[in-house]
Amino acid sequence: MNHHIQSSLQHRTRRHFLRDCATGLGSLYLASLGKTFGAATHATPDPSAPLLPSPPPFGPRVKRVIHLHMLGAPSTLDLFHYKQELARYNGKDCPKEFLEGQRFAFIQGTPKLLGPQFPFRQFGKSGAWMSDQLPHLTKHVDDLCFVHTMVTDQFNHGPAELMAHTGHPVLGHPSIGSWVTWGLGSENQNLPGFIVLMSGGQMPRSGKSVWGSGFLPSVYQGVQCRSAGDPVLNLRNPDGTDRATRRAALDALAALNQQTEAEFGDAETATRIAQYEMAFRMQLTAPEVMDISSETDAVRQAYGCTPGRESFANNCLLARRLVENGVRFVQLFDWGWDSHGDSEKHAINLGFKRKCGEIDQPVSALLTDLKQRGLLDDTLVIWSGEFGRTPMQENRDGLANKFVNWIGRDHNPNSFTLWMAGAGVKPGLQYGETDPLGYMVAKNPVHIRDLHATLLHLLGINATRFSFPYQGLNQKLIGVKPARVIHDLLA
Amino acid sequence: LHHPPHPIQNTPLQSLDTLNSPAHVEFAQALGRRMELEIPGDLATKLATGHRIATSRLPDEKRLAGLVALFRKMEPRGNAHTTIASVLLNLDEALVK
Repeated sequence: MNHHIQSSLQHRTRRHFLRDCATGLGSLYLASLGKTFGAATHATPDPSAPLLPSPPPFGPRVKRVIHLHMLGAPSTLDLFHYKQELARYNGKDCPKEFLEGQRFAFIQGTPKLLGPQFPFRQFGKSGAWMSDQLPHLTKHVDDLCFVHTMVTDQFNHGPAELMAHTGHPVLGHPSIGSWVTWGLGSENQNLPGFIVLMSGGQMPRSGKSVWGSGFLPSVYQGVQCRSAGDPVLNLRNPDGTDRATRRAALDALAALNQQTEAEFGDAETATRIAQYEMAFRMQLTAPEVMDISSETDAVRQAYGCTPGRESFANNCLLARRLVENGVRFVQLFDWGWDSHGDSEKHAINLGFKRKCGEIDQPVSALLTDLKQRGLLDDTLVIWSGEFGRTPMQENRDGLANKFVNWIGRDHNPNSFTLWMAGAGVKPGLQYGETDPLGYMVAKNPVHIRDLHATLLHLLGINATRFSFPYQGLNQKLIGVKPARVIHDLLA
Repeated sequence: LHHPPHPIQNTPLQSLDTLNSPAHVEFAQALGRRMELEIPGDLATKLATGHRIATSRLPDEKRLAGLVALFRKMEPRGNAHTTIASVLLNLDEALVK
């Protein structure tokens, strides 16, 4: 049997049937579409126009999201979270109580504490501490909402990336962008609602699943655009095929695929029909929207763009163009932040500094640009890694001096700093306290699930009621464990 | 615990690839040539055989009528066999069944 039919049959259980029968065929039909925001079943997404915008159940503060993920997990102890005590105990043995019961990727035995590696000082009216590694960003410090007490369940990259993007450490769950576009659609029907841009180089450890649609219809998966050369390949019709010919061919194709859908009942066929239509519209819109050469020199210089090359700076400018054109969720991935101190590029004193230099100007330009255009009023920018880094120097193989010239830190899921800027969040806020060494949360933890609940809240969605029935459970982005909206972060 | 197989790609980028990439354009041209020159019979037979090549089954009457109608519409523009072949190779059934 076709494995898709098989799997979709397996998702329907007797429990579904009995529940759905309770309120008649109308509810059977609505439930078959799956989307629910809670008590009232939401307007149903039309499979032929799956991205039509639909209003959330209560007033949204945020309409669009730009998520900047620094793959590898940057050391926020060297950027945003200043710990004077840690500086004082630099080079001393780490106290035993910090090591008991902890799991590390590489640390063995008793590591030495590692103080902040760069000079810190306070900036702006809010007096936020920042190191000297992001000088452009310090100018925006009063617009940033810092959460110093982010917590995740996972201490290795792959599962932690999945946790950050899907709320679950295992494969198969929808990413935030998929949930959000499934729930809210997108403002522009000529572009995908969820677009992913990579700085080039390394992919996320969990691959494309971090922007996958999991058990949601695959039309809601993130669409990865290229950041060098043509952003989208094969936009041009072959020689001899004009737009009218293509239109006629797609009409015939859609009619045939609709018959297939009626015959086999595979919802993915409806998605495919919609994707061919999206492709047809993108042929006109994508070249224009994705072309950063149409920006002025001044704008490109502000971001530090190099058109034609894969770069984070290009992607930041593209992100602004995409949200300006109504794309709901833009996900950027930068890579190379895994500063273990086991190589030049992964040394906090070397490669990490270079990475900071690469992102500082583009991120700052993005914030400036969004603000100038009024987009920051309803767009939220999020910057983070997948976990934090230890306040201890990593001692690979238990040796304090294995890599003498390279300074590094191991993975720390117990606390890290994330910042947000823009719609709905308190600017200039420093939220949460860690212990004196910046290792564990001392006050006001914000679990990844809490962040997800807060993010959905900002988008006008109640995370505890936003669910999709799958394998006998009303599945949620926040899963089944406790998750709360952090109201202290909200403006 | 049952885990469904990894979902197949189903994005507009894939649609653009199977419609416009040089390889897929050549697949369509080749299938078009087979229908035009190699497969014997009348137009309906040619198109039905093309459908079978792409999906492993013959089209029912309604599907075949749709293909013939598209062919007639495309005929004055030229390239009708290639256009039909491209449609056949982009059928959901051809891509995933």
